[in-house]
Amino acid sequence: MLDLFLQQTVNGLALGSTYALVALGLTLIFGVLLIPNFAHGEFYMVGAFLTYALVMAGLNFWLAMALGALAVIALGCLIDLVAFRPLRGAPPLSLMISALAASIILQQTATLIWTSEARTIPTPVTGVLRTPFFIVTWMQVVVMASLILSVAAIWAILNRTRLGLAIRATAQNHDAALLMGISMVQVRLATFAIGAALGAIAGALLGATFPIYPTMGVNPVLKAFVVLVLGGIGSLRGAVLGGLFLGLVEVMVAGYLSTELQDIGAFTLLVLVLLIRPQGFFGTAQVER
Amino acid sequence: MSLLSLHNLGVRFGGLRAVSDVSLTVEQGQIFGLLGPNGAGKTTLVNMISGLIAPTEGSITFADEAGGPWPIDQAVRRGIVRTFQQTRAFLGLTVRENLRIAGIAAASAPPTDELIAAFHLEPVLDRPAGDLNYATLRHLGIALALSLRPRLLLLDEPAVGLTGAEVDRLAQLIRDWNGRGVTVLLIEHNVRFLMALSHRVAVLDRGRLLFQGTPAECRANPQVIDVYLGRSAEHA
Repeated sequence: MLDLFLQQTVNGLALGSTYALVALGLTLIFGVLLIPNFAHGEFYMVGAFLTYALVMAGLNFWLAMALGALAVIALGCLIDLVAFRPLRGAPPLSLMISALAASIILQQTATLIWTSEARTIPTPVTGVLRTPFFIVTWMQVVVMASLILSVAAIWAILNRTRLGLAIRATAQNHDAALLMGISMVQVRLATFAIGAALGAIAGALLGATFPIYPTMGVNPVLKAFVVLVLGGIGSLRGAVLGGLFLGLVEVMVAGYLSTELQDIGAFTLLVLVLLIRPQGFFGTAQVER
Repeated sequence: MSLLSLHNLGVRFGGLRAVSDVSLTVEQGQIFGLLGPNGAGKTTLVNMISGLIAPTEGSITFADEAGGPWPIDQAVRRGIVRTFQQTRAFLGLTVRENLRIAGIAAASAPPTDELIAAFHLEPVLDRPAGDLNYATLRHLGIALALSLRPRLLLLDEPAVGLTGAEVDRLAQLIRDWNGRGVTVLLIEHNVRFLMALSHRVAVLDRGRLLFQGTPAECRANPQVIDVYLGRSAEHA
């Protein structure tokens, strides 16, 4: 009984790590630029497909993932330039519709290039780590380690660099940041670059475990929005803990109740949090600005 | 030498003329006071000079450069910096981080140490700005503006809500930084504070310039006494 619980906990943390990676990029873009980027799932999908294409061309997985992430950074900045920057000052609904449009265009483009057939990226690490209490695959270890490294990297960028200070200042008060001479072009580029890179890395890592297909980003981005609500919109700590929590809830529901109920568990949690604590676990109540 | 000249500046909001045909000149090194009853258009005028709103008529010249006003970020780059009635400090960042922000975009490092000493911010450097008391937060707002090394500092009611001793300290700080070469355009309801500090004053009434001259001339002007000082002199 305890063994099953520990095993499910490890599985839940591994799944939650991927949710957290996707949610981190999403919450950063939303927290700083107030853009509900539904196209974030496509950063994840394109990251997976580019890694796949480069691995198939003979590149090492890690190099392929890094190159894929760089290309997705460029894609993220392009999406911002075309879909979001012209809508500065527009109502949130316009931004949301523009994001959905970008998302659909990217999905269709990927279908044109790679077809809708599911593919798999050869796993870069194989085998399992056996402990007396649970078994964990080395790929799950890689995913969890990637989350830790990503969080450390984001923390360092935000708290130890001038650009990070500019990003945090903009997230706090956009108008005041402008008044202090902060370049919004740089802040937007950096925010989209970090967010897109995180999405691409998550896609590549998941693509090494699960099948990849052009609409693979839809479900994770919905889950990432659940994570944002759980953790508090704009809170990086909330994105990480919310992602891990969601992963645990899903795996526990699947393990102890039924796998069919896994998604119902996630979205029931969303409704409960919205009813009981709409600002999330780590968010603060906000007034519209 | 003139630093800022307004040429027939005005703005309409729909059918309402908020400011109309204002022309005045602020000399380099001056403290220039702007007086007027509530709704006279003082903040609107400062909003136009600082690039927060675009005028519908007129223009400004700043440091011999015609073609203003400029959008707010370009105005800041030219050295036109303002404060707000509600401070725009970054409440979730520490005071130290707030003071570092100006250094992100500036070509030269902000005078952080001087500002910390002048505004007595040393004891609160590592506290979030949101935890500061009202007077310290207002000081931080002005220190943030000064951290951008402005040539022209626009102060929008900096003394509001401060106690007598805090107002005296603020007056001294404004004099000190003016002595270091910062030209100041000051909006303030506290007439005594403004008159004591300003080299020249202008009075706005219903969006139009009613008077421009020295504080002594202002106090003696019958029109100004009629529309403004007559009322405010009681609590000045």
